[in-house]
Amino acid sequence: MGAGRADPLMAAASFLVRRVLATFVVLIAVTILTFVISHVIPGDPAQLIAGPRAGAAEVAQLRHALGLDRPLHEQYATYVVALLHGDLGASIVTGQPVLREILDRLPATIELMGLALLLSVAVAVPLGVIAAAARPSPLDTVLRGLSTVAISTPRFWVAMLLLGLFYGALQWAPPSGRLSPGLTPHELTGLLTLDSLLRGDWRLLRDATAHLVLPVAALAIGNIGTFARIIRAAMIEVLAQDHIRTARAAGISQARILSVYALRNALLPFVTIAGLELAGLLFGSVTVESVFAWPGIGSYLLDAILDLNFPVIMGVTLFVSIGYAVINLLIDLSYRCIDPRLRAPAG
Amino acid sequence: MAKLRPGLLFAAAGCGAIILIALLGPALFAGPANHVELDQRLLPPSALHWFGTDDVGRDLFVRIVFGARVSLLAALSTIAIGLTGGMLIGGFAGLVGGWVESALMRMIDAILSVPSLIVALALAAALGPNLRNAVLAIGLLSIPVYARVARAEALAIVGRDYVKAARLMGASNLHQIRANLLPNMLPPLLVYATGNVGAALLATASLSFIGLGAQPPTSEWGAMISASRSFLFSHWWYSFFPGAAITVTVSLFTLLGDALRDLLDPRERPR
Amino acid sequence: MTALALEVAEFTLDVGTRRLRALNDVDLCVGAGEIVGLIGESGSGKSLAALSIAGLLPKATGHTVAGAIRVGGVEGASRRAQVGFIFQEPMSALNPALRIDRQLVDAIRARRDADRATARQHAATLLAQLELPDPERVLRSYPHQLSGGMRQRVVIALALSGTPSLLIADEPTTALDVTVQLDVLRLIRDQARERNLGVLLITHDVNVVAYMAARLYVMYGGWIVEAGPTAQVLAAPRHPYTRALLASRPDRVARGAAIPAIDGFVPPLAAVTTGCRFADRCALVEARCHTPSALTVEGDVHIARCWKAGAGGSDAS
Repeated sequence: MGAGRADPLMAAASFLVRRVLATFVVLIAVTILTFVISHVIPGDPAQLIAGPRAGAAEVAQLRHALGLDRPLHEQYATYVVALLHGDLGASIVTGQPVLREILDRLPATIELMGLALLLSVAVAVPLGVIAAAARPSPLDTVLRGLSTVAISTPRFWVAMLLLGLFYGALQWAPPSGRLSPGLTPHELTGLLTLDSLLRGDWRLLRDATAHLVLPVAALAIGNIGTFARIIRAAMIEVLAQDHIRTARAAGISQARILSVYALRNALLPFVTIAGLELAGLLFGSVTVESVFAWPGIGSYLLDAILDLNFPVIMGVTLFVSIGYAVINLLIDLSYRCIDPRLRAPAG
Repeated sequence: MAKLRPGLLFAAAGCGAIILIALLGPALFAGPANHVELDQRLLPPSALHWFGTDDVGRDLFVRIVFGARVSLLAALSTIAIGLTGGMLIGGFAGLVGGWVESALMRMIDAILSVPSLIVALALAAALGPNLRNAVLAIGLLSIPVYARVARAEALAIVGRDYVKAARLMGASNLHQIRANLLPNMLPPLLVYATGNVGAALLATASLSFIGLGAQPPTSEWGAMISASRSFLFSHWWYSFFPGAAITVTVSLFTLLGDALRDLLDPRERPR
Repeated sequence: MTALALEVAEFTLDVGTRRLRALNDVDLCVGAGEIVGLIGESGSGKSLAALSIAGLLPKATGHTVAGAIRVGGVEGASRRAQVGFIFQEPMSALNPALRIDRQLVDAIRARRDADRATARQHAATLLAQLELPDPERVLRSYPHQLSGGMRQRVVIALALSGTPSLLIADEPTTALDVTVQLDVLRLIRDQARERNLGVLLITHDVNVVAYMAARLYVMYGGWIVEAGPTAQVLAAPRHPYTRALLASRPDRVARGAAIPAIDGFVPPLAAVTTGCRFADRCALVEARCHTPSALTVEGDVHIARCWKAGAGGSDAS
């Protein structure tokens, strides 16, 4: 390796340490945020936790039981200790632990968001590449316009239009939920499509897929626009680089230059940005799940908001924030495996 | 450069038209937004009611025109909160430097790594469901983004000679912020904020749709779509037109943000 | 008579929507096995000439051409296969996301029918011929794992991989450490001799041309202003621009003396050219220099586009 360059293994290790530490700071920030929102901002947190229908004596008792009459820093310590034990509180509607209810609903959301993410990438990458390669041309202008509209459309509205058109008017799609009544899922991973595939249950697979099409499309449309714009911009930047001219001079075909030589480089920054776009997908899934009565975390959160079920609201917020931070940590770490410049030298 | 102009012109004209509608529309189109005519319920679009009527006989076109003011004002308010807070924090960090700056920015980065809209949702729920609180929640959670940009701008300004000179002559931090920092930071931050109007409008409309923002009978676009949910399968226009209004408005502001950014920074960048 | 490696005849290039004249009536030839220099300041049009010859002008900007370019006797789009191109920046000329073997094998297979294994074998042979130690390790590497000199050898291997008739080297050593510059130049010269390749060496460095090229062209403002055998041109430049260019070589100026700069700037591209492009900066300018007819005074092998080319001589300055 060139002189003056640190040992790559050491560099990788120090990156790992710094990145994990940063995530740790994020987790602390998350707990402080949710603590402030749940304990400091409301006039009377006990009233919120007890629910709107609780009486004064009951609230006072709860306030003492929860330690809400103690100093804030003590309350925060108690809060964090409970979190470390996996205690996110209990739902005031069902009385069940919030964490268990979240985990019950997690597979439905993962299946929905995962497929939406896959669909977005599968559609957006070719669109972005085509737009960049066709620039400047009417085709590029049209694709740019479409992606602008796609990112400007509220996901909940798309969800309603799709439902109204394909279920209400045309009767092509099933109404809502994950499965038609009468079908029972196989208990494996909780991802219905994957489970029915593993069990070879084609009827269940078809039914689950039919239920997924509309919500996945509604959720994906915004990301398709965002991703296509990112890919297009990254491709334009890469296509202007010297090594593309080298490849052209060497006679490598335009198709191969676009699909391998340029796209490889354009995808590197895309991976990180795609991870950050998960936040938008998460927020979108709250409304989209609600429109399709999808039994995931999003509709769980929305129901909790409507019921003023405060422990659930805060529990879901915390859970989702931690999940998001951890996923982005994993993406950053795997990025070092994707980008050859950050890998240890060959040989 | 010459090629960018038509796009900028189109976007600016469209956004201008929408702002005009928001300002003047309610005065131009007769009849209050909440004018109820129970014998005119759920009528399809016609020459009389361009976008049809809702479930209590209010004209949807009139309500959408009134809604332009509410929705746009809400979106702009979130940006005003984010911009002000971000400029103060980012500008201060860039000016003082040292460990205060690193601590502040470390904190900002941490909050940036949180799905801000989900947290805004929880915050709005804690504050209580109304439009003002929704705006406050979204605005507060957008401060870190602006603080990041503001700090970068501040650093660039602080590096300039006349600011260094002023500091040597003993100008106080407060004076520096007022005289040198804010006036120079504002233009680039405003361009950046223009690009965020669309996203801010989508966020406030979403919170209203969820029930945490504008409450009926306010004619806010997201709240209107929320109210139309029971009529989705029978009366399509009720859901369709408010959503179309959001899409058109957000598209135009997104285009405007893109065009402005292209004008100032010819390198093409996503978002 | 052997076929010429490169023949450019009356080539004219207009670029952009405003049709600015970037290259005007360029005549240029390179024989097989011959190394020819093309020198000029940045903005003189030498790099555009190189891209035109290789058929690599970017499409997006829009351009129109007139005249003929023949490489290895081949005209039209298929001439591209006859050109190997060595770029200036070995740091950025290679794709950072792909291993060397992928880039070389793709280039080899783009120009000839070969399966992957054969192409890889050939790639290793090519690297060995370019004096790269441990070709197998180089093939497995990514560009960032190689030094600048190694990378430039890989770029040369890419240029040679299609068995071209003409090698265009655009400032091949400018970005390299001084210590490896000579190695790379020598390598290009040896390869040209061994493969009977014509080389068009584009540079602003007169020393590089003096070391490498038998003949040279001087370009200014999109025009070839002077051409001839290197020794002759350097010893007795005929065009005032060439004289000024040679006088401003830092190593030719006595210690302590000011470097004589050429007054004025390289002229921006213009739509119409009415006279000598150098007229505005020329100390010997006369009225006739601004008329179109002023552009074709010639000698025998050493030609220059100047009314005073014959009379001025090398000692007038």
